[in-house]
Amino acid sequence: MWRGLLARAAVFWAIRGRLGRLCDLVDQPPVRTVLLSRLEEAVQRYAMRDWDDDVVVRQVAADFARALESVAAWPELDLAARTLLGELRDLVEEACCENPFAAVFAPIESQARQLYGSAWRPARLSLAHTRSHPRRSDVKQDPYALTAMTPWPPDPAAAEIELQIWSDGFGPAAYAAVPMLLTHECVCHVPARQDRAKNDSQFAEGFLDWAAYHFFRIWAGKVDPQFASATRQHAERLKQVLTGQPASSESQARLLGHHAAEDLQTWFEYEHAMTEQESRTQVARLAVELNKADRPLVTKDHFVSLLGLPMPPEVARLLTAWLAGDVPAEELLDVRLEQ
Amino acid sequence: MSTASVLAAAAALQRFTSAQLAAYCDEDDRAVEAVLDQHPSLVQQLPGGAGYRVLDTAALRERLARHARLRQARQEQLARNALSVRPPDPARAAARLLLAEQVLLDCAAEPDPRARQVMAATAHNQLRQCAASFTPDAGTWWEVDVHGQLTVPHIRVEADLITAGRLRLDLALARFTGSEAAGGTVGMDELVRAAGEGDELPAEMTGGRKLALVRRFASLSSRVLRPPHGTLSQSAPARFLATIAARRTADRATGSRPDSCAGRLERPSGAAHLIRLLNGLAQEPALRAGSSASRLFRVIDRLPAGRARVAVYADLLPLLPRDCHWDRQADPLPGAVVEGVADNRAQQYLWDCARLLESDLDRSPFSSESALIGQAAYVLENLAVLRAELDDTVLFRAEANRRTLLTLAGVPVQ
Repeated sequence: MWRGLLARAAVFWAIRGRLGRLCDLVDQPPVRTVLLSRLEEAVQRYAMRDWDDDVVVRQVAADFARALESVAAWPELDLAARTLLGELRDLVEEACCENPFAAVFAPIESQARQLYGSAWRPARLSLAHTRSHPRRSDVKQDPYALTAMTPWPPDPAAAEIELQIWSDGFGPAAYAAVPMLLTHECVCHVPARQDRAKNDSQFAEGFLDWAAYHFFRIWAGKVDPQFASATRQHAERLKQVLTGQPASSESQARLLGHHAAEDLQTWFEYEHAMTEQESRTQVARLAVELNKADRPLVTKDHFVSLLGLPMPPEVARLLTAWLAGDVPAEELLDVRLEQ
Repeated sequence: MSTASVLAAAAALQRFTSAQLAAYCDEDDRAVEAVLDQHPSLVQQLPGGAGYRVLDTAALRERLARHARLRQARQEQLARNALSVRPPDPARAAARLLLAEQVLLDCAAEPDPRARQVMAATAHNQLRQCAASFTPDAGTWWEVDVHGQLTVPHIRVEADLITAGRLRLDLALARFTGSEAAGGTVGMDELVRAAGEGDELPAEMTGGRKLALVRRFASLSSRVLRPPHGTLSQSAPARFLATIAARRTADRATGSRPDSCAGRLERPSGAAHLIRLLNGLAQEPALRAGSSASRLFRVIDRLPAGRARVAVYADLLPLLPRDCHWDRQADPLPGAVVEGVADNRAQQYLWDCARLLESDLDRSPFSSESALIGQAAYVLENLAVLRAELDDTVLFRAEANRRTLLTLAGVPVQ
């Protein structure tokens, strides 16, 4: 199983600079069918052989390069598509067996470590195979056939982030979503100090996820400029998928956490005359500080439930004091409104 | 853009290293240092490699405002938008209500009362924001009168429907959860009013959620009800009886289980079931604190020929051998305690079974209600095996009993 994932991911990693355009191209059914089928055939042909990983990756890449060449010769393709397929062919020839998941993870982990400073827990990445799509969806509607989780409680020596992949649905869009999934784990869960994990937490999966998206937008270009465009595009599409299931409590928590962060951002802008950029940074900073606070998750969820415009006076007073450095972020977790 | 992003992050962090600041903006360490070095009047490098600090936050923000062409008018517009009545966002309101319900249902499994109090407050905040979003004249969301008229349009979320009646029941559940967690009580009138909301739950509502909400209401009622005389006992047998009554009533109120009153011309409404439960909880002597008598069996009246009118835990009746006489007369605690006339032999059997079950429940190590039900199912199964020597049909009746109890406890039964 690992060989198959490695070979596919190595191909996607080699062509990551054009991965977004490949995803758009494979939206054209005949091209999608042929290219992804050929890649799958190559994986099936070589992954089980008693060869080194390196040889398997090179053979899969060579077969995929031939598939690209053959599709590029289709007369009905326009010049732009043909040019793209030629560029992809050149790139895929450089595919190698350097771990294409670790290559994505390392720079994200490094950014998150800077963000959390001494509160950071070292993290390592592991891969797991799942037997079905994580949301039991059709890959045509939801091509993100993978998910990530940080088992709770994390090992103090090194939190383990597990990337769970359904290999039958693991295509270019899924690979392009890996950086956002890993950013979510690194920003939201690895350094979290609280008593439990909960998939429908408004704080951990919503408010903090907003911060993870904020950081991802600014880190994407730094961690891998070639991959940035595709990863940003698929991070947004993934968000639409994850918030677009109104009957699921996970989706509701994510949606409400994002809305709460946006309301707080607006409040910073008008109440404290901040630019949009600074107010976004302040919301993200608050999310990070609250995540570091060793307090029960229910109190963090409660804080998120207080964020709505207009802001309740006690919340507004404490937020202003926090901005001025007069109170720690944790104090915001103690606000209770009269019931 | 880069300068603005570095300075915006600096204004937010106030004191930082270049590496920390770089994590907050779209530049690397060296570019961050270059930008900071260009603004010595705004940011100062600290000695000994301790990083940087902002010297003049107001000037820095002024600089950012100029850079972003932020005008006073823009701020005023933002303030107006934020404070004025915003058009209702049905998707957001629906998410608030549905998530609040989930939080309230999760309280049933939360052992820490302080956590339950916080969770109740969280749900209450989300529900008030939901209510306020559709009630433009209600004032600010935290002051919305949740006891007043709530104008919520019907909102469809896939197979689910949200209505004002549902919101009112959820608000009541949030209040009762807070009271229960704080060790408080709720008066009969308020519980009866909330039970009335049970009938306002939409017919088009996910079945599982409807049953879960009504069950939670029934279960909370058995914990917070302030009876007219005395208080409710927290002993294991009393909690067991109240839980059995609450769960069976919720099933009947939502039509999830066959109604014992089936066959009547008019089927009682969901609210009627709940109100009967509340009356039973308030009046049933077996639930009162301070009583030393058996909670699962008591003699009400002695009658001629050795007969007696007794009140007994309902699930003991299938254990009676066929030749015992039992004449059911009333259900003082629906689904849990029945009254009837028993002959001498039946009284003896029921008393023996009640005593054994009660003593087992009294020694229970479990605080969870579901675990108490599971424990009772196990004891009743053993009693049935013992009674089978006298009447082998007891085993069949007891098996049906066991399945019903395990289903009530949420255990899958094959």
